[in-house]
Amino acid sequence: MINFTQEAGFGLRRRKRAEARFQWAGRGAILISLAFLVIMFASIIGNGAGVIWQSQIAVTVDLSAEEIDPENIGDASFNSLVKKGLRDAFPEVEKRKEKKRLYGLVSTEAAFEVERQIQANPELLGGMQTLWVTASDDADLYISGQVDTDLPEVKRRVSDAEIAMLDKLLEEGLARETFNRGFFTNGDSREPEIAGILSSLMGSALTLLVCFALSFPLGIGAAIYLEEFAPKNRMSDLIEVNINNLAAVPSIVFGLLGLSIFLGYMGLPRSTPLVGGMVLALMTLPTIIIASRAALRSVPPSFKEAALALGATPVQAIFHHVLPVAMPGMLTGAIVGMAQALGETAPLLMIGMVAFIVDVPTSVLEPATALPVQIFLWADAPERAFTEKTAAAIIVLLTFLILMNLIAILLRRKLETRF
Amino acid sequence: MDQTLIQTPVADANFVGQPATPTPPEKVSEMEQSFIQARKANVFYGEKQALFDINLDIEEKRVTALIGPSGCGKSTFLRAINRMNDLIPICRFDGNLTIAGQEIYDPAVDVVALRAQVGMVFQKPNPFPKSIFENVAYGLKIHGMTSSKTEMADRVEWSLKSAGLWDEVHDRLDQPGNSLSGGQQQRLCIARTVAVAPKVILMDEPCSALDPIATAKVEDLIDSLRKDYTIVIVTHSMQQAARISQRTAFFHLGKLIEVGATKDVFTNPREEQTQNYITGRIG
Amino acid sequence: MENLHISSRYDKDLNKLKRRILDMGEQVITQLAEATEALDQFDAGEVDRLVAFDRTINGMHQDIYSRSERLIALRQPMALDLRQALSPINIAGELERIGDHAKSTAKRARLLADTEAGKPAREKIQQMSTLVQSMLSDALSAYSQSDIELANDIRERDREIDQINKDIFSMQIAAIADAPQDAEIHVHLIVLARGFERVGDHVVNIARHVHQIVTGIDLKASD
Repeated sequence: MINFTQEAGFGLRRRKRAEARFQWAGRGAILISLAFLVIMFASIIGNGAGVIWQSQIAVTVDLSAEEIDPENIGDASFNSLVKKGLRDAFPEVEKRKEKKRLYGLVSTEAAFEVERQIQANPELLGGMQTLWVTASDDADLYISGQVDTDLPEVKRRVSDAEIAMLDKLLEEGLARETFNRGFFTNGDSREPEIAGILSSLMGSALTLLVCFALSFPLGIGAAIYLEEFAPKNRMSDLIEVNINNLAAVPSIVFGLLGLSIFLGYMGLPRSTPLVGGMVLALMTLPTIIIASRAALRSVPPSFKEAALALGATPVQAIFHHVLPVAMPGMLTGAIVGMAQALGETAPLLMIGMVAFIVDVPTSVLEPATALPVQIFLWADAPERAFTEKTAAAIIVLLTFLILMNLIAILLRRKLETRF
Repeated sequence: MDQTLIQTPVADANFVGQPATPTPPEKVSEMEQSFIQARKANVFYGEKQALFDINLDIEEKRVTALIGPSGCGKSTFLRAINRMNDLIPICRFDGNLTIAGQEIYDPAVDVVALRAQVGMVFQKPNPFPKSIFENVAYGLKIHGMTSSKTEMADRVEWSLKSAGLWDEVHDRLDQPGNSLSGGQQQRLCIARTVAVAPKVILMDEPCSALDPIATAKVEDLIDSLRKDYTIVIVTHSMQQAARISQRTAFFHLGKLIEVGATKDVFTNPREEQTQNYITGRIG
Repeated sequence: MENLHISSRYDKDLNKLKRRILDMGEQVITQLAEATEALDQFDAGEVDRLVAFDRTINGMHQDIYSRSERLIALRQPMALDLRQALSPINIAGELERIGDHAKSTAKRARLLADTEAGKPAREKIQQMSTLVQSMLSDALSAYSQSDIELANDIRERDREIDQINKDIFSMQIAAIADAPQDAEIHVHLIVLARGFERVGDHVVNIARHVHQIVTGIDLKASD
């Protein structure tokens, strides 16, 4: 009886082994790619996590009426106030070089921070006040424990004297680490400790807005025409091939195109989200057209036929029945295209969105930069503390990409009609 | 030429409530001419000819079954009647096809209006992915056939009753059409077609995706629709053709081999090819 | 003849049904011949066997009926096939009635065994039986070969049977007038002749069914 199944199995053992080998190879490939992904995320998160915390130093400043005119706060010299406060905290420091080091413990932004705090809360005026200001990037490195004190002094960015001063501050509770709100609310800065991503985030958002507003209607319109109305002949084949080619064109080429046409010929303002969005729209258009055509093609022709057989015009049939069914697929395609555009750097460099932007842009006509460009700029910056910022910005970018893909998946789940 | 048939159904303003009452043919000439009449009808797909010189008369308010093996051209002929073949770019019609005396391949004929008068039910039930109500109301909406919400609701109710579906769905009209069973979906499609008051209903294997009970219900429905509509049905089931049709036309390799009363075609066909086909012989 | 079915089992079923009819027909012919022989040379044992054998013929009729029924239910035949599936029921019915007549002939042989009366009528009856047997044999071959001409021919030949029956009738009326003491025997002979005339009608019916199978036209209706 046992022989019954064995009779048919010629070379069965060999075939089974081949199958097992193939399956294990597949699992191995997945494992390797997963490992790379984990390593990448771990290194980025490891590098960037520190951004969440920011070091602050308490400075006692004299806010009496002699120093600051309550009627005219802006006239006061907050810089010298902060310096004076620091000198008071370390009366033993006398040498000019030492003083410079002392002042260097706080960020160059410290004076503005003090001013802002007073502007926000004028009650503080009149008398001595202890205010928290941002520590400098080097001080921050030490406070957050990123300085290896075992190294010889010359090899460190933080000198022994500074360490001594910071140790004292820490002992007295005049130095602390707090949640770094500034990273999310500030624009770019030459000083890593106060550099933030808001300006580039807004730049990206505005750029994507322009990009979506241009490429989605255009892409869907083109897809509907090509898929449903265009006569099928050599011309439409040619167009189809070229759209597919366009999707594979390197993005920098679109940047050059934008540079020569939008900036050179049309004279649109440089470095603005408007032009950036237009260039990215050119780039995402083929993606959206291809995805939308695929979505349209996946709609069973029976709906269109049924509508036509009832006496609907072709446009009615498509807009009433085909489009609603294809919409989730089209939106998914558009979101994937947008995600691609969000991560794009090269074309934006070409049209000048690489500028150093401190102010948060509020319209598409203001100069702006985008998140990936910001990452590129920070990665290029010499200050050691920018490494952390770069990693943090990458985390933000990745978060948005994942979020967009998640929205695409959810949209598809929710809107997809079963038939 | 009689131009009254193919115009937008709006002109038929007071049809609601008294749907499709049979109007006796007024002219003598119409008595002599059958309702749908094909003369030397040829259909080509590109270079390939799908139908050869079809001369077929289809009588008004009768069920005519088109039978034949796959690829024999029966579906092509069916789709020529409401010009659904126009959707295929390489498809070309040559010859004459008149409905109620009007040549439907006349360039002056508006295809959209033609299809409002010649409804179609497809092989696979294909309700729109919308509510049951919306499915039936769609044709009324695009043709602007009703002037108020209540009129529309009445017309939808009437259509669903005509399709024998009202009792099963009247309490869930807002549910999606594809939540119904296959047979109910097909009857919904028939209701949708009936709603716009066509003169002719074409059916392309309407029961091939249904189980025997659903099939029986649809067949019963077809039989009851016969008094108001001219029905042309393509079917692969000879038993079905025999059960529901009054006339049967047998197509083979793009040619019309035989047409006659169903009872004659299925008991004693004139042509040997027909005999071979209906008895399942190698012809 | 006609083309083969796509389903070869269908052809097998139809052929089997046909062969059953032919078998039954042959049995009935033999039965008729032997019953007629018993009229001439009475053998009590033979007559008993003939009477008992009628049950077998009835059984064959039943078997053909259920085979036809099954074929119709399972194959749902159309047109020619439907007629080929339906006609065995009718033909077997006719054959079964012919068989009944053979049985009653055999029974009557008992009654006629002890007398020589009505010799001329008996000879005529022998002649009738021979004619009817050959008609039935031809009807069966017309059935097996779908031969309409042969089937039509049988209708002509039935006239001869009718004529002989009429002759016997008038012969026997005269014979009863001549020899009233043998009246019972003569009446039996009239009934026998009448029975063979009926057999002829059954054979004509079979021929008619053959015609209907092949052409789809019922001759009785069109006559």
